[in-house]
Amino acid sequence: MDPNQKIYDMSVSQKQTVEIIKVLYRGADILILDEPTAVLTPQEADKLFNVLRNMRDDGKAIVIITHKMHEVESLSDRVAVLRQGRYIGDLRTAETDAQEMTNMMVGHAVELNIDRPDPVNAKPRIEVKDLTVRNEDGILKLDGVSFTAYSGEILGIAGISGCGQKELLESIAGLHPVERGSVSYIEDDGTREELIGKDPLKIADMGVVLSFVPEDRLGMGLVANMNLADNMMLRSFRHGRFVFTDRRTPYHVAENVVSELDVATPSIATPVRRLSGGNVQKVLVGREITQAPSVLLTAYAVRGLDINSSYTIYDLINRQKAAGVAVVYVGEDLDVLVELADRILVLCGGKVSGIVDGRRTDKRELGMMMTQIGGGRHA
Amino acid sequence: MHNKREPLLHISKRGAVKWYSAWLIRLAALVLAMLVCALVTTLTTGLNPLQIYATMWKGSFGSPRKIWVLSHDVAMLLCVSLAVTPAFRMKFWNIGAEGQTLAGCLAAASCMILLRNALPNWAIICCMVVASLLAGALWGLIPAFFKARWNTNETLFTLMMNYIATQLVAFFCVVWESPKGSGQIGIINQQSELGWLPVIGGQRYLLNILVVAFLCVAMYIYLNYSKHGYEISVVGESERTARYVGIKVDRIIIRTMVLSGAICGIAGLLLVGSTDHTLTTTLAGGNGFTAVMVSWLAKFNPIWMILTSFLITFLGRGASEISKAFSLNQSFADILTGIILFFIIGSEFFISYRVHLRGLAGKGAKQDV
Repeated sequence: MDPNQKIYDMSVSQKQTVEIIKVLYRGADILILDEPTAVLTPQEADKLFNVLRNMRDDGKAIVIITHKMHEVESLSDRVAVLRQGRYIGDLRTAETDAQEMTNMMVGHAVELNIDRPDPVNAKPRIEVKDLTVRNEDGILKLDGVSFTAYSGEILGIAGISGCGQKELLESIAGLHPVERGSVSYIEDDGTREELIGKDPLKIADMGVVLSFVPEDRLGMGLVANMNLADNMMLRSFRHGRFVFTDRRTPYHVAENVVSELDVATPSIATPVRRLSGGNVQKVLVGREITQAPSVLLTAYAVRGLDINSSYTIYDLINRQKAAGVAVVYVGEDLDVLVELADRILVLCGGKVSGIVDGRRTDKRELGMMMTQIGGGRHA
Repeated sequence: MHNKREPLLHISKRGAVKWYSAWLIRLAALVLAMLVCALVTTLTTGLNPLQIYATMWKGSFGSPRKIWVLSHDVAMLLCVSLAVTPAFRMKFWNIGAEGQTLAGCLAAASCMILLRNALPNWAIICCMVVASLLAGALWGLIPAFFKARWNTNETLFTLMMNYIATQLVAFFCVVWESPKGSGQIGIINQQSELGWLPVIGGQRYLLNILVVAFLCVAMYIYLNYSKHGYEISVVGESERTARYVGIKVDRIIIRTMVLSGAICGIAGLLLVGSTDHTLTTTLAGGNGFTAVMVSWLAKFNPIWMILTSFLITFLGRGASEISKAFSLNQSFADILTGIILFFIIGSEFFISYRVHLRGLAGKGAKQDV
């Protein structure tokens, strides 16, 4: 490390190293890490793990909190399982496996495989060409991004966080100003409609049902202080008669979502901020799917969710795919991406470093592509 | 662990509160406030507190005339409170209702003065209605436009607009003074009664009360059942969510503030055209600021606002009655009003939070101190 380098010039993994050095320098004997790999590539994570192993051999105690099973398996000596704030038990890592730990986390046996049916009748649905976007501070977030999303297919988007994923989805949804480029919506008969320059309302008026599950659920996708029915109304309040809103339909939608997705809530009239993260996400995804979309954009759909809820969400997404929806799935867990997505687009610093076939790639390759442009082959 | 480091009072947030326990806490606060007021009265003046309360009651309900005046005062305060409420629901802190009301007053008065020799009575009244609506709306539009465009601070902006309105009124009071040299306008069109709004059923306050009652119901429906009302709530809760579903936030801010200002304009019209028939800088009477409290106390619910504006008006009238009856000065009345309001507003804290006393904290013991 270069001691004269400024923190703001460092990559996230360097910053993390500084944090660890700081702690060690002060003579800490116990190190607690909370989801340290969320912002790292697999390669960087391996480096971090090596540092941690050395520290362990030096006699330090290390507590690492993570939701990724393979990290537990590769790094830890012992593992403690918590479920909804309760201590369930601890195990020697060498004597257990992901299946057993998952069962303890959930409380009953779960199937750990994600389905990936072959796309049926895939047609181009969204064509993005040379998309270039700057954020509010004028920093280039997307630089000449081009790709096509097909109906009946899940297009995964991989990348270190903050590499333009958010801007990409928001630009398609008409929520972000675009500097250059085009986003075309292609109907079944081949007619093209330009989406750039239109706001969400205009896009909906064109008859394009575009569902968007944003990263910030309570700050963007939902209104935290409103109840379930009123949140359902966000998408339908304009359909009411005359100047009045229609309150009955959203109420029924909320009832349906609650019963079909098994949302744990005291009632329909409960403000969504009082629900747990997984249930909030089910409400949001449920509402977006109820619209019967032709394009479904999701950002970190399972972030912060327990295993059970995550699998519910994967299942929902797969059902949309089967129904012919073009799904764009921005994810951070590469293990999930290589199991769920048909094709994976890798972003690196706002550029596309490659699009690969989800069935023929692995984490190593994606990790390489996440840090360098053009590291992969095109599918 | 030892108790040594545990603080004497420990405050925690309550979950959902049942409506009846919330009202029980409010009632307890009112009773406590009365007790403290009684104590203060006896200690400082030696008077019998029961007599004081009886006088307060008489000040508001002592005669049919007093009941009419009370109802009218409640109605006018409620009118301004209704005006600020849609903006407040949008988290646009409009504290310029005083100025918006004065703008309405000025517009109505100018129609009465400038058009009195030009138009018949009915046409003057029509012009007054339109002009005061527009003037109030304009006074609301200006800060809203700047907020929507350049994200200026609406609290400062609306506050400053009050002073502009007051100074404008002061200016025109001199321009239209009557008699000459008095610097006051006096009763406008006293002989001809041109531009005076009609008196209904022989009661000069009835028109205002009816108009405000209608506004109250309409505002309740608008906020809770209309598309506009829903948009206002979404913008107030989260602008990003609003944009996400295609609501044009700028447009909602401007539209809502125009509405807010226009209702203040109606208040101005009613004051000038129906009851006071004059124009002074103090015509709005501080209602624009009191309305902020009325609206907050009622949690922005127009129906509850009837109750809160009644409470505030009742306290005010009762207080001035006791200062007259017992030849105490006005400050004493203000002390009593202050104590009561302190307890009522303070009770909201105990509705949202629970206070645990050290040692009593076990088994959900409920201590509302």
